[in-house]
Amino acid sequence: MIPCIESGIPGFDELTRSNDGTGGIPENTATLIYGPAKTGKSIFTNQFTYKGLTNDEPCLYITTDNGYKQFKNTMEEFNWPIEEYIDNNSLYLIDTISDISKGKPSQSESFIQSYINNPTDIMVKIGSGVHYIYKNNPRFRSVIDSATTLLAYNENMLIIRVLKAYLMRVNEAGGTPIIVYTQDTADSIIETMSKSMVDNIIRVDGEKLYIEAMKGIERRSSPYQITDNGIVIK
Amino acid sequence: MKETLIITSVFDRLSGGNSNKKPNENKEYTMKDYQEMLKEYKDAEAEILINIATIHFENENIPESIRTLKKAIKIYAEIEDMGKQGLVYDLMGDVNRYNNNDSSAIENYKKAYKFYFKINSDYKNEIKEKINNLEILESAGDSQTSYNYGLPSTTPSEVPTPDVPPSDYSKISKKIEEVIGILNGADTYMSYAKSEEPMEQLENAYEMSNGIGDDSAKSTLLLIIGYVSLEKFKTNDALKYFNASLENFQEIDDKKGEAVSRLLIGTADYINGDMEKVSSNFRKSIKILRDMKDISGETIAMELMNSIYEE
Repeated sequence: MIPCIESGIPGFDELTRSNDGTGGIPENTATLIYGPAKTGKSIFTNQFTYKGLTNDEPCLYITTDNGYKQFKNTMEEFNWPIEEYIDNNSLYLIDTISDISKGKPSQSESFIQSYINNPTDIMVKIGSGVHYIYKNNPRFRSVIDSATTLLAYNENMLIIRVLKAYLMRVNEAGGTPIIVYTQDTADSIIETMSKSMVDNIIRVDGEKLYIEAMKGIERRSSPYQITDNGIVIK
Repeated sequence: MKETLIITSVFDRLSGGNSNKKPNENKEYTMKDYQEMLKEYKDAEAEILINIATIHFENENIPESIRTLKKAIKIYAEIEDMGKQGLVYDLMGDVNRYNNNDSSAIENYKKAYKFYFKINSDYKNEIKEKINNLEILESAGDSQTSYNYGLPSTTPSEVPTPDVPPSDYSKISKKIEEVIGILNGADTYMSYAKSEEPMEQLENAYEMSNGIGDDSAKSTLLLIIGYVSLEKFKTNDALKYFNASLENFQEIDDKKGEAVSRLLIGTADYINGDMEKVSSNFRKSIKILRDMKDISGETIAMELMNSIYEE
C-alpha cells in the first residue's frame, strides 16, 4: 500500500485511486506538473499547498514567478488566505523574484529573500528551509513554482542539478515535493531529464489532466475545469 | 543548424511516432530505454573529451587539457559514474604533477581517492600512495596524511605571518569588500560573512555550490572565506583560499574573478611583507580589468592599491 496525501483538488484523489483504495499524491515522492502556459499548473500547486496548510502539514514554497505580494493576492483570489500560515511559520516562503526596492515585507523567520540568478543562494536557503520546517513537522509539502523561470535565468544543466539536489533534500527529510514546469520552454533533453528525476508526472493542457506516471497506478486522464475555487476534476 | 537537427531528431524519437524511422521501427522505447541511451551517449562524449585532453597534454597545452578533463568529470558526475570520476581526477592529478603543480595534483588525487573509496576500487591504494609521496615531497616533516574533501586544507605553512595587523587594516578591509563586490552574487555571499557564524555559513554555501557544480559561486565563496580568514589575521590560510579561488576562476575562464583573486593575493602578500609578489599580482589584475574595459572594476582595484601603498 502506497500512503498518499490529500491533493486538495476535488476529483483528483478519486482519479488517482489505486486498487488498495488510496488516492492523492503518493507521500514522500517527487512530482512534476507540466503543460503549456495558462493551463492551471500553479493553481494546482497552490491548491496542494493550501490543503496541506489546513491539514497542519507545513509547506516550503519556492516562488520564482510571482513575488510574495502577487502570490498572496493570487491565493486570496481563490479564497485561500495564507497570512495566518506565514505568521505561524507553517508556510516557509522563499521569494527569489521580488525586488527589495519594490516594498516587499521585511524578511522574517519563515519569509526569506533569495535571488533567481543565484542558484547557490537558493540552495542554501532551501537547505535552511527544509531544516526549519522538518523540525516543526516531518510530514511536509514543498513546491517550486516554477523551474521554467530558473531555467530561463541560469545555465540549464546547473538548474537540473539544483532541482535534483532540491528533490533529494526534501525527500530525505520526508517531504513531498512538486515542481512546476511550462512545456517546451527548455530544450527537449532538459525536459526529458526533468521527467527522469521524479516519481510522478502530471500533464495539463487546459482541457484534460493526464497522469503520465504515478507510483502504484497506471496512466489515467480526466477533463478538468478552472473554477473560482480552483481546479476541479470532472 | 546541426544542433537544431540533432535536437529535432531527439525530439522526434521522444515523441514516439515517426513514419520515417527505420532500424527500430517495431521497438517501443520506454523511459528507461531513453535514459540508458542518454547515458551511453554521455559516456561516449566523456571518453572523447578524455582523448582530446590527452592530445592537449601531449601538445603541452596544460590549461586546455585540465579544462577538457573537467568537462569530462561533469558528464561522469551527471551519469553518476563514480569510478570514471575517480579515473579522470586521477588523470588530472597526473597532468598537474607533470606540470609541477603538486598542491593541485594532491587535491585531484584526494578527490580520485574519494570516488575509488566509495566504490571500493582496487585503485584506491595506488592513489593513496601517490598522495603520500607527493605530500612528503611537498612538506617534509609533515607526515600526517589527512583526507579533507571539502575546502582546500589550511594547515599552517612555514611562511611567517605577522601577528599584528597593519596599522590601518580597517581601511584596507573596506576596500577588499568593495573589490569582492565586483563579482556576481558576492553581495549575497558577503551577507553570510556578516552572520553570527560566518565560517559555518560560508562553508555550508561552499559545499552547496560544489554539490550543484556552481563553479562561479564556489570560486567567489573561496575568496570570501579567505577574506574572513584575513580579517582574523590568518594570512596564510587566506592565501590558500585566494590561490584556490584563482585556480578555479582560471579553469572556468572567468577573467574578472581572476583579477579579483589576484588583488586579494596581492593584499595578503602585502600583509606578509612579500612586496615583490604584491606588485606582480596587482599588475596582472589591472591588466585584466583594463583588457576587459571594466572601468569601475579598475577604479575599485586602484583604490585598494592606493590604500595599501599609502600605508
